[in-house]
Amino acid sequence: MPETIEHLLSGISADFVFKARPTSLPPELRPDWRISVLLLILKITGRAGKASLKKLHVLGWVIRHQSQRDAFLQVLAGDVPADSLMIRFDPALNRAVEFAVGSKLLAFERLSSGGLNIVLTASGKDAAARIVEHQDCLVSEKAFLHEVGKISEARVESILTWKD
Amino acid sequence: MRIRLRHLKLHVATVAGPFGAELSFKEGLNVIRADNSSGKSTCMKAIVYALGLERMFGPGNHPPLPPAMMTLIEDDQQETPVIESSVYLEFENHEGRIVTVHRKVAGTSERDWRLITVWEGAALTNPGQYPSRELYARDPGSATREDGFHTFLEKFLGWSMPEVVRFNGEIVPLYMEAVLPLIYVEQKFGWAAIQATTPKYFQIREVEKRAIEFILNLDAYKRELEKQKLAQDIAALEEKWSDLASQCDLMAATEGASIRSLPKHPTVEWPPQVAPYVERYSGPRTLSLNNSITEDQAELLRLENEAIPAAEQVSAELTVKLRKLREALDENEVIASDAAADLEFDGGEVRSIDARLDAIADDLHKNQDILRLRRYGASPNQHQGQGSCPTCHQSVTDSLLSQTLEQQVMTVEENVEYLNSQRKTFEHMKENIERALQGKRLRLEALEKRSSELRSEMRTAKQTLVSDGRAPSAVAIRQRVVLEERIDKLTRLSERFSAKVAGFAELSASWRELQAQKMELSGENLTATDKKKLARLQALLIKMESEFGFDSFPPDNLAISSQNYLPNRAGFDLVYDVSASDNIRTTAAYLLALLEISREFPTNHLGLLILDEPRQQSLSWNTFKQVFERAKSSGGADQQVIIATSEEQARIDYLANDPEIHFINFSGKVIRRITAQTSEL
Repeated sequence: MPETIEHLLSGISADFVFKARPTSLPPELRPDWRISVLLLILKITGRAGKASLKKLHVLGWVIRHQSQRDAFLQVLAGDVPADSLMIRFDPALNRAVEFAVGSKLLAFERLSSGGLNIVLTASGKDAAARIVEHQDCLVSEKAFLHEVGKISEARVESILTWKD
Repeated sequence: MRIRLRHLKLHVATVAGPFGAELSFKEGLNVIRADNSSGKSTCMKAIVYALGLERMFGPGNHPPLPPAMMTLIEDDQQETPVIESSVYLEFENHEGRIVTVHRKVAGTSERDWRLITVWEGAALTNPGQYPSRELYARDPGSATREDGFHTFLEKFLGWSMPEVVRFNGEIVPLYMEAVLPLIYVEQKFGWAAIQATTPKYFQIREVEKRAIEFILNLDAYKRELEKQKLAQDIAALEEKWSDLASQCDLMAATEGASIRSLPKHPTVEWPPQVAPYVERYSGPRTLSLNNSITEDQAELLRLENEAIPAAEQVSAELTVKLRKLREALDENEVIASDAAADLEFDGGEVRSIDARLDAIADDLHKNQDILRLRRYGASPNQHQGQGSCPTCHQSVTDSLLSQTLEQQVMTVEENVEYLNSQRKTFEHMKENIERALQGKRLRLEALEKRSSELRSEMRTAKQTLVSDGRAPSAVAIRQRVVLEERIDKLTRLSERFSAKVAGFAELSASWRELQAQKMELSGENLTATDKKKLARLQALLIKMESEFGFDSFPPDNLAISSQNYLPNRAGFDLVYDVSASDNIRTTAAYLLALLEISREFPTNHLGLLILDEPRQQSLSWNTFKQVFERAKSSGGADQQVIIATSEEQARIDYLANDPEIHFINFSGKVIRRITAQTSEL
């Protein structure tokens, strides 16, 4: 007799039970983490707590792993050409920005040139200060951003377009 | 009885003249009545201070007494600065020995407030010349040095403090201050729960339990301590065993061999059923060391019985031999190359597991950062953390993925658990592979060695073939030499191994002993006597609760927990389950029960109980009266209870007529200006 699935299953008298189990999530996709990092980027590397969305994407992408952070710093130092970096635009970051704007931590600022700036609100500045205050949170991320320093939009643009 | 307070004197020198308070105490129940904020609690605290035990109130670096004794004292609606103040306490021990102590509280004099003068006599009730000593309290060495006050006090009270364990594993003596809350209930916080004011900063593990064990003189703790010591000894022996095993492994590995049948963990029998032995690779075969030696010796014997042939005699067979050696070498090289590739592959597996472990560690760290932020209240994600969108208030999940996905996402805590179990799994896998790797490395080494030996043999054979026909065959000579050397090395290894392995016999014997001790100590810590005491404590508690009007539930449902020796009901601690006044009843009943149980069993109780303001807030008058009634029995039992209360004078001064009660009433301040007529003793 051919071993069909039905044949095999007919020998089992118990029912199959399916339990939906929650799925694990990479921590970078947690709003707590991403929004905290955004606040830090704006506070530490932004000019007066402002930055373009592009800048947030670039820094937000490389900040996630030590190897990427190191590579970015090498590009900044000029040791390595910019085309060795593979920067992706992450929709999750846009969503994080939207949530933060909804929570009134950030605000949008339309520029006359048509570009979009993201700005820390007063409560955003408070929240960022609170995160900075606790020295055992987001240690490597803070260290990286301090190394990057107040990087200009022009510099970010040149890194992105490999003209660095 | 271990202590009887006799007389207390407070002295405060001020700009406006001297102030002071004096209290005499008798056996049995003493009731001190004074209005609120008149200084009676100061007197109670001063007793503790005079005894050098003020660290019960906290680790602070100055006397924990109120401003009236430290800086400003109130006199007729005015505040007068304090120049100097001190306290005197006269007390007696179970041997009838009376001492008086004096300690400075405040003031600019040179005298250190940590110094206590001890007079060997009743200097307050019977002034005179008495020999005196100066002892230090509060010094780090105070409890162990000869001139420390605590050493003196312990001896005087007949208290031998047991060893306890701190959270960091350090062993220290149980501090007397940690036991004091069972004897002195402080006014402000002492009534919140039994032992509410136990100082925690000593960092002693389960300090409340230790205190009760000590007061009741339970055997349980001694057993617990022995169990802990035993656990340490067992762990130490396991380490020694594992150490010795590693040494054996290392010794064998240097000769390209490995140990088989060596138990990784201590055994009670030595030698085990299959005794440990050494195994080595001989080409593709594995042989036990002894067999290897025997084989070699047999071969050597055979060779020795042959004459060493001359080169020309052996040239024909040598040519054949050379060809065979060539073939053997080729074959061996193939096996070795396979083994090397296999090793490389396994190495790659380990590397990829390592990469995985790094990623898990990184994820774990980020998740923990999130938990830290939330814990500090610094998470910027308050709304979403509660599951709703800050703008439209629809429900959202804790993730930045598209919200239309049906899939439920783990909480951060669940994620951490998940990552931890992943980490363990991969670490386990890595361990397994590395163990296999070890074996493969040894095998490869043996194969490489074999190749190298074969090449040597080939060289020698070629050498012989081209040498003078009459010279002795170098091959034959070499064969013998190599064999001799190997036999020598392996024999030495065998001897060293036997010597090392003999060490296990001793360890195994120790292990047997420890296991026997473990069995003896197993089971409950409470001895039969302990249980009797606790049963009696329970009975006394229930009786008193009934007398005091406990009404949250029938007092018969109360039990004494065998875990923490405190009252509970159906396994739950009472504090949150009962009314506030029942809480107070329970505290009073429990402490009085401890006092009474000392009359029936040998304990470490000092036969003293100080209750400061038991009539807190809502306690019923009836309960209050019942507490007095119960406390009166201390008189007949050579014990002492001191109750301080601010109850209305009119209501309570009927107590003055009770011959069993020593009633002291203050119509104004307790600490008052000293004139010729100040004394209400």
